[in-house]
Amino acid sequence: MSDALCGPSNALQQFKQQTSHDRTLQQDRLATRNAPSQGFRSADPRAGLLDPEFEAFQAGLPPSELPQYQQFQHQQPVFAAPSQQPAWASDFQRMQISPQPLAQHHNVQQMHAGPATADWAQGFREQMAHSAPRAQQSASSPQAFQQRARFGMPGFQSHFAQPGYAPEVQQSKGKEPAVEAFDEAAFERAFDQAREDLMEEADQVAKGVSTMDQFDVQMHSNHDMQDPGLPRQTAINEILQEPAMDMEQEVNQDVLHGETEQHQETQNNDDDALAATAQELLNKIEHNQTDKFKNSQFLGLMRKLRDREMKVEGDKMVETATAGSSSNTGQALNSISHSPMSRFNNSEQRPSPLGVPGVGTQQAMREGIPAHEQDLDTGRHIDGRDGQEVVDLLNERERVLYADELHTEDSDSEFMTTSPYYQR
Amino acid sequence: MLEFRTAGFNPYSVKYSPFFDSRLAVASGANFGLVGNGRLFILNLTANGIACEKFFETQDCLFDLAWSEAHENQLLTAGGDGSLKLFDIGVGEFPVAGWQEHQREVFSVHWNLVNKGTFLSSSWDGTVKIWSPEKKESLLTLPVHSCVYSAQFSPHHPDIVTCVSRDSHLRVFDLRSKPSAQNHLTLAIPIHAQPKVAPPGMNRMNGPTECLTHDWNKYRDSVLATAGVDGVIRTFDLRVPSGPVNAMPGHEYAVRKLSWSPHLSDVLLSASYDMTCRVWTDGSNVDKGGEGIGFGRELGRMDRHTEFAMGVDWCLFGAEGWCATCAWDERVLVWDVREHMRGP
Repeated sequence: MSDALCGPSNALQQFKQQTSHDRTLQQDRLATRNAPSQGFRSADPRAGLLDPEFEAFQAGLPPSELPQYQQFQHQQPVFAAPSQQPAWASDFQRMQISPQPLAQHHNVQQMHAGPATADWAQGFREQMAHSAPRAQQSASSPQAFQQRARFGMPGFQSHFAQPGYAPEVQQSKGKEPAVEAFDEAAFERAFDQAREDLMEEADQVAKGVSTMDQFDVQMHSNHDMQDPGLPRQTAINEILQEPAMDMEQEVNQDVLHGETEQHQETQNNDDDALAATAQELLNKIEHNQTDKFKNSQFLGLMRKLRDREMKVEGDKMVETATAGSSSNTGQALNSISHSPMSRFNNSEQRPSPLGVPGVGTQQAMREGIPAHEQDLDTGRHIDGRDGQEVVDLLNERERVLYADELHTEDSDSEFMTTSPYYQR
Repeated sequence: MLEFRTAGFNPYSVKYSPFFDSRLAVASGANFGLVGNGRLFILNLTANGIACEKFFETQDCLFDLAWSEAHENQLLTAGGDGSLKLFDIGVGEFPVAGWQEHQREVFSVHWNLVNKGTFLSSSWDGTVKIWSPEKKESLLTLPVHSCVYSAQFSPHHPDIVTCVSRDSHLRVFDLRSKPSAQNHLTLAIPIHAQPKVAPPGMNRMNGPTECLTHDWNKYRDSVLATAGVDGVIRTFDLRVPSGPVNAMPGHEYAVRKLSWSPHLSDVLLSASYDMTCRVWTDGSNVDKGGEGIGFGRELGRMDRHTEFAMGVDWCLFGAEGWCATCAWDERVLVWDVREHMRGP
């Protein structure tokens, strides 16, 4: 160790130190053994065989307590130690090195049956189903995520947060295998739960501590007034928890959400998320009655978002149209597709702006906007007409080719199409 | 006091050019950065007030900017879509270079002041990345595992990087250290720890809160200041890595941006969500009655902004005390701190 840290050294030397240790055995023991397909190492069927014995040895248990050991004694009496040998030596001799006899007792099979993660997630899910049923309510669309995220971060939401400690537990780091995505929901719920606990804890601490900060005191009293404290906490947590969402999952959802109704639902959830966040913020600055805060445009915008007088369409903030312009179809669709899970079921108050059903809502909005005001970024939205040009082109080509074909076989195409012999 | 309106865009950051005393840049976003485009303004201080020399449009909100230290016409922006863009004032309307590695909003960019060939970015994806303008990929990624609101190179050393993050820690990276499991992390100082000199009336500190901004002192090479959601400005001395040296409460809401004076070793400027910009001394200036270490206090404040104050920067040139601030009221104000000082 010492020569690694001081004195002349070169990269090769360092490298050698790293590689010359053979740690495979420890790693085999310590590493979780997943299905062999997940790693590049070939799985050693004997890996883990000795774990129970090793544990027992560590714990100082007499080897006779091991179930394997009993059978082992029957099978291999040859190894029975001469009695005069010291205890450790006999322990050593009794240790089972060869794989065959034990393979049947040991749970090798279990370990390799199916991806371990599945069971694991299942367990998680069952456990969490009781304690944290609310995580799924949060907005599920990437847009909602982004907006809430934006709200939260550089903006104001989290900056007004009380001294509650919200550690970033989950990070999305590059690509993960597809199998992992399966666990996300359970995972997030688990972290969510942990975070809530943490927040509550921090809250308790803060309650006791924050004597100096009037703002905090005020906020806590808000909490208390509001009630049991739990729903409010929940809202906070959801907002804080949003950033943990996985990028890839978003993309997947983006693809999935091509469907008409889901798209609508997404939109609704986005609005919900925004409104909730705005509400959150407004509650926090409620006590501030200075003129600046009263007249603030930004806070005015927040109020509008909260009251759903404004909403986000694509890349723009738009005034929600008043009742006159919304048609019945739009209304109906809106309320049908509105998720029962969402926290605010006030779809009546939120008429679809142009009453255009379907994927085209945003598109229609876009078209309603004068060309010079339109945002050029169409790539973000699912365009129903995407690829239509290509299709048209292909059809065109096909038609031309077909016509050519006809001409080469027989110049009289009219004859062909009218003739009873024409097989087509 | 000079004023410029960034009509339709809400500024997030303002920076003086390190080359020209009359040039400013402002990074902004439409709709308070919630949705919509971003715009980078290049402003000139003229005899007739502030004039917009040029602006660049971007697809997503811009959260921060940094002037190139190597080229007087170039500047770097941090985008809400995770992109970094290098603009050249003399070149068209599009960036001359772009980098896209961050998975989330980039919150800060900073140019290396000593070795002028590198810059860094910090993002909500929990990483700080070191870049070179010549390379398409980042040179180095420093994982922080928590949303990084602000990262900087030390102005005294080319290989020291600091950052503050949501988890209420000030991290110091030494890029000369061996790449190891530590990823160059040398120090992680808890920002919420008890300060060495607790200000009167502030007996116990709150728990951890998100830290939003930090800045290196330009004169004392081991001193930094941080501020964040709890509205308290803290100073740190890296020689005492157990916690803050000094704490200065005063802002009602979160402090968004902080900057040490380039002229005075003890003076700080801050912008806050309480819509004020305040000037502070950390009490270290012996000539002004400080004792090298002592109680910080507010020297003065500027109340003109009518929305959340977002960015501050000191002018490097001319008389000490000139600064620029920006806020969500779509205004950039250039003013002299000395006019807003209160009597002692």
